[in-house]
Amino acid sequence: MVFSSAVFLLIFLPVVLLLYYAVPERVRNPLLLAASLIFYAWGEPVYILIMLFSTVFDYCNGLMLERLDQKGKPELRGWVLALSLTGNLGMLGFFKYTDFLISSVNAITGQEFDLIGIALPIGISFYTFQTLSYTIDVYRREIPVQHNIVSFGMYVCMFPQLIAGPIVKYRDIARQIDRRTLGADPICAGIFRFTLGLGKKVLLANSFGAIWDEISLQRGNASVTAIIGAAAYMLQIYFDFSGYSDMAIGIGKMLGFDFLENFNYPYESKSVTEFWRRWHISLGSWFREYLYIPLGGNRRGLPRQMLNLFIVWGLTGLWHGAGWNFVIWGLYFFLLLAAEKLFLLDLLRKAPAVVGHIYTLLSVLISWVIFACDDIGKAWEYILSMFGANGFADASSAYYLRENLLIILAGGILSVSFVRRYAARKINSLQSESLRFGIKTAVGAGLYLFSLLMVIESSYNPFLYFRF
Amino acid sequence: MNIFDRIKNTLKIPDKINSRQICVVVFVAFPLAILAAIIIKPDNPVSVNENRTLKTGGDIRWEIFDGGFQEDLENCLSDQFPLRDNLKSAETGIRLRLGSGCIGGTYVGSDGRLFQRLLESDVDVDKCVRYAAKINRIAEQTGIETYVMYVPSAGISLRESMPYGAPMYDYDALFSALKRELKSAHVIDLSEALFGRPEYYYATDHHWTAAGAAAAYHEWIAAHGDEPTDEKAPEIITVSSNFRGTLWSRVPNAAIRGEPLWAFRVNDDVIVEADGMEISLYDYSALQTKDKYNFFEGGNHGILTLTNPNVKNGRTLMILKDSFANSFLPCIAGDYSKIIMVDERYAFIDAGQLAVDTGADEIAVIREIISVG
Repeated sequence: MVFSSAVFLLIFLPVVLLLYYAVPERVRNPLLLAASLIFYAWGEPVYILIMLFSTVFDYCNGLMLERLDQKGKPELRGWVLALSLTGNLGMLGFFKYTDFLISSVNAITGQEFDLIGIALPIGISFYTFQTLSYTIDVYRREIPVQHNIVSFGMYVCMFPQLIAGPIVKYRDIARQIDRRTLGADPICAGIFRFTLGLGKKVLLANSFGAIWDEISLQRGNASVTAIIGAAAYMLQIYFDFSGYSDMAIGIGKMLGFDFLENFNYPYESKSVTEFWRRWHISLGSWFREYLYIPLGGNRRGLPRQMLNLFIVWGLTGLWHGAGWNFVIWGLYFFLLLAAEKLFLLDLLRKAPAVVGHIYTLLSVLISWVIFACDDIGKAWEYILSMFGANGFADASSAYYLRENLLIILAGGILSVSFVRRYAARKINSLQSESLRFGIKTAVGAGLYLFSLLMVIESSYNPFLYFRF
Repeated sequence: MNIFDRIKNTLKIPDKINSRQICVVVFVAFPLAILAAIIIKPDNPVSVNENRTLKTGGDIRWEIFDGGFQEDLENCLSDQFPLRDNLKSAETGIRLRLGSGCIGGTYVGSDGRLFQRLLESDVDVDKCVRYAAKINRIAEQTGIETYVMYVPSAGISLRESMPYGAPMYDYDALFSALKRELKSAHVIDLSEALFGRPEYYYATDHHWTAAGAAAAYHEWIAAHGDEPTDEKAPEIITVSSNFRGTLWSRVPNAAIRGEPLWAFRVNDDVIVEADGMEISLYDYSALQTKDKYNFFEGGNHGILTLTNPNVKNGRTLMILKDSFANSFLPCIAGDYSKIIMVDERYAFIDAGQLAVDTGADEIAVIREIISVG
């Protein structure tokens, strides 16, 4: 099930909230687990077994780690961690990367091994990293073991962040799993946050997606047209992903959870290093804590640090998708980040801020073209067209500019923190508390209604007989 | 503690509730109220404007494991949403007022004229070329005179009326590629006749008007070596004053007005048979429906045969066509004793064999250039 669907907005969310607020506190975790399983099974009735296996597997690994400590055999704990890593990453690798591996081998060797053709279980990259964070933290004795399988299952399967993150580390919500405070104030804040995210996804991201889809399908784009397309994709991916995170955080608040922020206006960064501190924060911090630092981070000299960065960014690319374009995308960021660590960051600090902004935006813009095109040749062709391989502008550039300039400008302005800070200052300066609340409610209600309208509208599909 | 008290406690609702608590209640109650409205109101089985059946509660499959139930429920909620057509119209109205040049895959021209957006990626050039090669093979193998009349899409013919720079497929390249394939057929180039003439295409539909068909008829006559004159085309009559075509369905807003539907005056003696039944050349009942273009022969048929007892030349024409030919047929009804019209989307036949079996003297291909068999 996706958030921007009629079933979710009209049935699932209101019914779950109604039940959640109506049942006694001790029933809320089982209720949330059941609701999450329905949410997942809605789109993946069979693959729910994989998620349940993953849940039980790491629940048992946690218990085993505790038991080994109690029995005075801590030297065996490493084996349990290895088992957990092998099981989780093995499953992720099998479902996500087997066909990628086979097609790569076929391409290199000229063989024709059959692909296994299994669909990727939704959310497996997210929940695998969540369960791993639990086992690793238990191994490090940083968190207590969860003995209640319902509570643990609820953490792994919790529907707000199940499909598109943020990756919630167990320790970040460990306390809230067993005890949460609810009240109209945080619930209201959650509703507002949810409507913001819904609006970002449905009203903005989908509009930008349509622009990119159209332009990217055409060959021989003039520079202006290609840049409009790439900018639209850059905004689509931001509003889509951060919108989903907003919705997840908002629903979390409605249920009494406080998830950590996942985006912090990444497009206003002055360097790529800063960009990655603001973009998909939960993934960056996962890789930093569970891979980069254990590999030695920057503590073992420069060559080793570069190797660590290479490993982390190659895997970060691969995490985003099973394709060479994702690997190249990750390594492209490795090159930029390595250059920044070696000398570029110092230069950028001395230069006017605008230089850093332009450099970052351009670097990220190009990265998204690599990300979006699963065919490397096509990505290269598109990047060349952005730099004028097919001329600077033509009649269709004028059309795309006229049709999309306003929405792209609006998207650009909304993707930096200026508007939010300005609006917050203006609203907070109002004397009347009820007026402040009224404005926010009106904005939220407007976003919700328009988004719902667009969800319904997307089903409006005139059947043109002449095509059949 | 009863349920209401528990909710009241959770939200810490005092005897006099505050605005935040109201907000939470409304957020939960509003979607449920819409859901109740969808359940209570009678199901609407058909969307006249979209020309399709809607998913109703009774249509929902109870197949959970293959996703049928989930898909049907989602579609049912969207299709049965209260005031769905009005909301779509309002949304379209906002886009029109904002000056949007493209709504729902439809270009909105400066004069409110609608055009189907057909990008390079929407056209299967290889398939078009393969079809042209097939027609050429039929012409060569049967030895029957073959005429091919490719109709340019409205957005190609009326580029001046489109939003400036709005991309469309490359007509010239496509036409040249198809013409190269059709070495053994007469390819009738309609570009000169149709380009730049708004009255030749409907403003709310992708088809040509009777005037456009008449202009094409002139080219048809010329291709046959005759001198085209105005007298040779039948008289054009208005059969409806409020035609809103397929493109209007994508941009359904009252601001875009209906237009006249035109046809040719023909004598009543023609006998038309389709799918084993006698039908009328003009289906007047279609004028009472949304889909008024079905006025011509009642819509598309696999094989349609028109016999004109007034024509004594004994000539038979076989037409391979799409819906553009439907409004063209009355124009040539007076030129042949028999016309067999085949829509290969509905009739899976060997067209060359059929031409031989029926003793066709001529074969014609009449279709929009991007449509293939």
